[in-house]
Amino acid sequence: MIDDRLRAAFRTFDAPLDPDPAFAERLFDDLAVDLGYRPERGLAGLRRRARRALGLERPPVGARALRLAYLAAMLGLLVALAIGAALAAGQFLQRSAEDIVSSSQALYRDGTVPAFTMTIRYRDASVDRFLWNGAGSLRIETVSGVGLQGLAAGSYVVSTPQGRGTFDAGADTWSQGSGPALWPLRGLPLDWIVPVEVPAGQAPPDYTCPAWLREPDGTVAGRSVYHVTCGSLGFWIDTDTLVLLRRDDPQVDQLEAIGFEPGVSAPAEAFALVKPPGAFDPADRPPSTVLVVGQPAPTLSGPLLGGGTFTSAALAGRPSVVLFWASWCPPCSDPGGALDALGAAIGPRRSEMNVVTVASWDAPADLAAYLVKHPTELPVVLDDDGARGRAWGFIAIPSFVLLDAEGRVAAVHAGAITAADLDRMAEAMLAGRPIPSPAPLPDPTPRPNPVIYTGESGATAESGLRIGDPAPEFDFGLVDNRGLSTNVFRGRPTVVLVITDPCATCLVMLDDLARAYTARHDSVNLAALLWGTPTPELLAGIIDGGYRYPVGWRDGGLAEGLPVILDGDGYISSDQFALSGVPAVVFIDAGWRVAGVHLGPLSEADLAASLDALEGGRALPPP
Amino acid sequence: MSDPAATVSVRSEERAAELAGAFASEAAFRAFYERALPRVYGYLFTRCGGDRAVAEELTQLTFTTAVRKRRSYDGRSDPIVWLTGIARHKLADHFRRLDHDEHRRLRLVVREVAVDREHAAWRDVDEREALMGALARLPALQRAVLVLHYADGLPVRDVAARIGRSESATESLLTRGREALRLAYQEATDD
Repeated sequence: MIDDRLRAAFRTFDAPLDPDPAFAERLFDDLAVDLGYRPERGLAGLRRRARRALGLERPPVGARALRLAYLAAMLGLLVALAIGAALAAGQFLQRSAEDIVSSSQALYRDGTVPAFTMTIRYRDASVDRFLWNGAGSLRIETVSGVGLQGLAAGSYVVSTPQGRGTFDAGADTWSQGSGPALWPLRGLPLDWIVPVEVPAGQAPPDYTCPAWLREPDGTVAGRSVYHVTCGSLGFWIDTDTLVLLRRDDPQVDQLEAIGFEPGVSAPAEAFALVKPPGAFDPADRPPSTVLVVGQPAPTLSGPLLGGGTFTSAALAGRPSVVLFWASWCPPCSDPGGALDALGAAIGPRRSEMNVVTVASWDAPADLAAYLVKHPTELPVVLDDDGARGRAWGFIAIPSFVLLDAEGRVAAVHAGAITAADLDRMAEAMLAGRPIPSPAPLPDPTPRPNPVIYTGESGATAESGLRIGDPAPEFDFGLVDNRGLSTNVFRGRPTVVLVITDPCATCLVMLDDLARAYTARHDSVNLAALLWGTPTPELLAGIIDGGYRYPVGWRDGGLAEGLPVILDGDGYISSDQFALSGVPAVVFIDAGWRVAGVHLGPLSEADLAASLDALEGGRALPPP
Repeated sequence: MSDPAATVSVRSEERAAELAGAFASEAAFRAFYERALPRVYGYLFTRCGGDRAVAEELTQLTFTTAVRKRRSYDGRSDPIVWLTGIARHKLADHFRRLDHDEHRRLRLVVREVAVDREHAAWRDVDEREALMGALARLPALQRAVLVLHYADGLPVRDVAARIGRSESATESLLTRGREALRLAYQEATDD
């Protein structure tokens, strides 16, 4: 029987056994103390008393691991107690939300926040707005690309009841109020624009709340802040200065909640955008938006007409003259023009100076055709897309740049110049003297302003164009400073609307033409010709309105929008088209012959009927 | 120690007086302590698998508990049997703690040895050391039921109450424990 054998075997377990004598003695001593025969003494006694007091008579019996676990648990208990005490103390000592808010509000009531400053920073695709005061920033907001949606592409409007400013990231311009861009920059990314110090405003309203709540502290603009909330309102208060750095109000649209706290009087000067270093006033536009006298010029490289490549290295070591020009630009290429002046003045000095010309916005074929008739000894760098001209910050040609032997800009001149003036400038530079400014050239013979036809006066309209005659050839500049020639229009019917400014009827027809352009630009060339100097408002309307800008030359055709041709002196309108007034519409067939001329207002329906006839090769209907 | 019931032959009052006398003075307690200590220690040492540290801990617990509860002694059993009863409590507590501790670690081992080999013959089990060694290799609860049932002679129902398990679970533990002990004992004696 297994059970019996097991019982028998286990009976050996009942034999008495003497333990270790030391253990026996220690246990007896403990028991003697427990029984009161002996007093408790020493550290062991203290430990026993402490254990008894804490109700921790003995550690649990078991393996060594259990004893260690017991010790660890006791240690953990003590640490937890210490942490709890520290937390309780911290809670007790922590500044209350009410105290933070009232202290901050007192700061504003006392007027110890002295002054406001507004700073705006453009950074990558976002705009940071800073409202600073004497003690720190009052408000910082970042508007990302998402936040900019709904505004004009690339532009950003800062508005308060007292003022309004516009930042155009695409054009790198600033403007104030509703006027045109005031401060185009020198082709460089915009960085810091202000600060402007303005007088102190009034205190922000004292928000009251039945129960302020203190949230975990945070960071705003690199400063540590208290975060207190009242319902959905959040306030971020600088821990050092108690200045309100940020307020979250879900009821207020972030984009429009710019500016000053409600109730703060923001003086108009708050938006006085200061001219940043490097920015210029369009009314006093420099010849180049990039070049600065005394500073190195950008590098210049490109294919040379006739083969080879030009690089800036060719300009090193000696003073240089660089001319930007185009064959289609009369002041550049006419006899006695810029190219001739350069040849006459610098040609004899080529042993002392480097010289190079850059044919910007000039089609190589047109350029080659011109140079066959008007050969030049000067090297010509091809720049048909105008990239080099833009990189040097030119908005007009001809433009001259004088560089010293170190490649620094010595002088910049835009516009026509006489050989004598250019010679004096070169001589001064070689002699190390100050470079004189060229004498202003006399204004060209004034041309009469165009007559603006109205419905009633249309009968007086005149045109020297005759139907069936070859239409005039001309080169022209576009609103975006591009230069083109009528060659680009050949092979398709062409319609040119001639307008001026101000002319309300003209603008109505410009709208009609823009709509026609949208519908028909695949089959008909459509362009507007702006006779005279347009007002900035009209230019802004052309740029911001439906007339796309800049106009592009792509894949052999005008592809990006209605081209608006600038004809400031009336050379095309008056001399070539022989028009006496505006509005006028010149119809030219695919063979570049005049198909019709309409003087005076033309309705959109009549324009459409004429376009249909032109495309169909039929005679134009009378309006 | 044999079955406690067999030792009850003296009147309770006399036994209570005997224990009270044992605590009357340090010298009297010394005499009682020297008589009881080998019995209690021997009882615990074998049953906890020959672990001296555990045996000392349990012995100390048994005596301190006895000192604290000496006034509740009713004299129905011999004072040393009373002490052994306390030791048995401490031993059962010890096994329960061990089981709690071993529960996860030893689950796989328990399954491995839980083989039904009831028919297997039980051979020489008269060597105490080998038995203790074998016992020490068993999971705590198996050790507890074997010790309480076979060494202390407690019926299964009492064993179940001591270890906080149902009777059927205790029966199952006994079955597995026997088989495990047999295998462990074989290994111990083969070594």
